[in-house]
Parts: sequence; C-alpha cells; structure tokens
Amino acid sequence: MRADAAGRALFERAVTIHREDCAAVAGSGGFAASDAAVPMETSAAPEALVAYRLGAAAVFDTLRCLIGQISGLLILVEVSGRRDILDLPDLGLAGERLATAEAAIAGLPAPGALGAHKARLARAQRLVGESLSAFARCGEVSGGAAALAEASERIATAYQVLRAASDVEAGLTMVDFRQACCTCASAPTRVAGGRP
Amino acid sequence: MSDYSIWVLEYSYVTDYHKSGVLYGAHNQGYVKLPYCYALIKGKGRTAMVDVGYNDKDYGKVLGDRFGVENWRSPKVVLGSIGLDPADVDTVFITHAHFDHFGNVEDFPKATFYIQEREIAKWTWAMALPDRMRWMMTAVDPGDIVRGLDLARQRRLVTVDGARADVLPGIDLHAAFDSHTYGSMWVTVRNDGKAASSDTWVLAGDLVYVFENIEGPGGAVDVADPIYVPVGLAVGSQTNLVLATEEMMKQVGYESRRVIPIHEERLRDRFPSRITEEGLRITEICLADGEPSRVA
Repeated sequence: MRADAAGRALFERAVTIHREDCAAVAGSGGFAASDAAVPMETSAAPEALVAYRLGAAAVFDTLRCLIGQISGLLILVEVSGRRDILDLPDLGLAGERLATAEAAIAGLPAPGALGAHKARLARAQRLVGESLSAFARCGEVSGGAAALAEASERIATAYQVLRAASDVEAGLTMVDFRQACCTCASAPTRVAGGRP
Repeated sequence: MSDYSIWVLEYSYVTDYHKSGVLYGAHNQGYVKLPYCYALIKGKGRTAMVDVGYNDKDYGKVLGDRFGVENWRSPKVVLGSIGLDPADVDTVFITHAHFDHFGNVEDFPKATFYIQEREIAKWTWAMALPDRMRWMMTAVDPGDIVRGLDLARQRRLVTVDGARADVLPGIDLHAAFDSHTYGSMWVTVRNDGKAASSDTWVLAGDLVYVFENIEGPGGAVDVADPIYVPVGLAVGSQTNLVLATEEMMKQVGYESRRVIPIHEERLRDRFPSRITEEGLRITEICLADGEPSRVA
C-alpha cells in the first residue's frame, strides 16, 4: 500500500536520530526534512499517517503562534521595563491555548516511530509552559529579572525544539509564506535545481 | 555637500513575479523581475543598513523550490562587493518585520536595531488570534521575534513609537501605521544635514515596491496624470499606503526619483549601477563628499 507522500516524509524525518538541540539539525534548518523525502515502506497505515499529520499540524501551528506571541510580549517588557504588560489578558489567554495544545498532544495517536516527533511537540509545549510560568513571576520585586531571563531562555529553546519538528512537505513550517510580501500567491516558477 | 553615501544592494531575486503583487489591481498583466535588496548608508563615521534580508539557512530551500527565489548571497558576500563587512554595520533600521527584511539579524553582530514598537506589539497581538484569522500574521517568522528578544536582552534593540528625528545625524525615522504592515516605517536621509533639506532621500521599505506605486497609471480613474497606486499587500490599508506615499513625496519636494523602492529592478536605469560577479546588482543612489564610487 502506498503511503501518503507527505506523511512518509514526516515519518522519515521523525525516525532520523537527532536530538532537537543537535547541531546537525540546527545547522540544516527547519526545512531539511524535504531533502529526505524519499519514499520508504512503513508499517503504519496511510490513514494513520494522514491523521497524525493533520493533528500534528494543528498543534504545531498553535505552538508556533504561542512562541511568537510570548516572545513579542517579552520584548515589550524588556525594552520598556513596563511590568503592567503582565496585567493584560494576553498571558491568561496564552495559557488557555497552551492547555488546548497539551490536550491535543495527549490525544494524538502517533504510529510507530512518529512517537519521536510527537515527543518533540510535547517538549516544545512544556517549554512554552515553563516560559509562561516564569513570565508570570517577572513582576515580582525580588527575582523579577531572573524570571524574565528564564522566560526568555525557555521560549528560545521552545523555538529550537519546534523548529526541529518542522517539515515543509507535511505543512509544518515556521513561516506561512502563502501571503509573503515578496512571494504572495506566486506560482512556482522553478523546481529544485533552479538555484545555483 | 553630501554627508552620506547610499547604495541599494541586491542579495537575491525572483525572475518571474506576477505584477499584481507589486501594483494594486494589476491583474493579468504579466510578470516582472523582483529583486530582494537592502540599503546601506555610510557617512559621518557611521555605517547603517535599512533591513537585513532573510537567512537562506532557514528559508532558502522552500523559497527556491516553491517560489523561484534565486541566487541568495550572504551579507558577507554582498557587502564585500562594496568593500564592507557586516561587522562594520553599527545601526540597522528595520522597516517592518516580514521575514525578508528582519530575517537575518544574526549576521550583523555589532549593530543596534531600530523598529517600531507597534510592529512588535501588533504582530504579537495577531499571533494570539484564532486560526481562522491567521492571514493577519502571514510572512512573519516567530523565530525572528525570538531573535529580536535576544537582541533586546543584549540591549541592541530599540523600539520607536512613531517618528524620531536624528537617530543618526540627519537621518530620521517615520511611521506608516496600519499600511503594508501594522508598524511599517521609512527612513529619511537629509543629506545636507539641514532641517529643511534640499537634498533628501527616502528609503521606503515596502511602502513603495516599484516606480508605478508613485507614478502609476491614472487611466483607471480617468486621470491623465500619474497617480499613486499602492502596493497590493497590506495588512493595514491601501489608503494608509497612499497617505504615506504623499508624506514621503512631500519630504523630497515631490521629486519622485528621491523615493527609493528597493524592490524596483529599474533602479539601474535611474542610478549608476553594476552587476557583481555573483550576478547581483549594486545601485549607487548618492555619494558622500570624498567617497569613491563602488560602481564605476
């Protein structure tokens, strides 16, 4: 039975043995999985691969947005020194979205070696949670600066972990290029090999 | 007397880009070459950039395979073609946070970055919106925001609220809120240093893509003279783009050649230019007193 190509690509990436902080992964970038999109046989049914791909994409997107949102709020606190940003409803809403992501990961069936990919998503989710917790403490008189540093460090690590779980063929990308300012709605004009 | 030299440096390009992407309403009118560029300003002992491009390590393959983006070269190579190094850059003005403008801060290790506070705040807001509204956060890489946070922690990120004069001597920042992006800005160089300058250049970011955004066909509205025709993509509004264009034109005394659109291939026809051995264009907008040409 032929498995879904994107699902196979994701499987291929997921079973590649790399820690998410491995220099080989970081060095090759988030889209490296496409290079490895070689058809392979897998014991997982194509339906299961597709189901995982769809579920993982939703979680990935939520985490991607949360990382951007929390990083942006941290920038505003960092450059303005204004701790009243903590009083905005944004952090509470972020916590709610994170809980949704956590539940989605828990309910995501990951056939075979895709468990490794799911583990990355789970780790990214935990790191975002740790960043949020630290962020909430940065208004404290004592230890606020340390909490801010911790929140920043955790969210940066969460980004790296999520980036390691990205896969352009499976639709898990850190940037949504569909409306990009210089590529918006552009039809592919070349295929791989058109670049020097 | 000119204080600053300005070059527009191409670092990549799309050969066949649909014209409607750069000019509002230009549907079914074919394709144009779309260069990806940043600008370099040098003078008075300072070296500044307007935007930093994107990092090919992160985006190169998908841009190349899916969108036909070609011939990306690093800032080391591109700046090297005019005898400079990224480490020489002390100041960077980020016109907006799209990945191809804000996506390569790591290659400028000694620079202080300026961006509108609203650009950060509103993208942050957009990322909190439900998935069904995700159009409002396209083309922004959360990773760039993460790297922006790192800059902030190093005290190398300055957020600006609206206009700010003399960020460097004779160089001003101007905001165009809710236009191309939520907190876009342009850079004005008063090259004689005077408040009421007669030698002003505007580096427009993506508020102006091509000449027609300033000198567009008026026929669509039954006007014989050229009119402002805004760029297609705006998370804000085309109205705000037109208003920003008017403000930029006012600053240059309505001398349209002084508003520099960095995505405009035909800059080579208006200003001295040369093609490097990597096949990328250098356009020399102006030279400071005593500065040798890089295109001669």
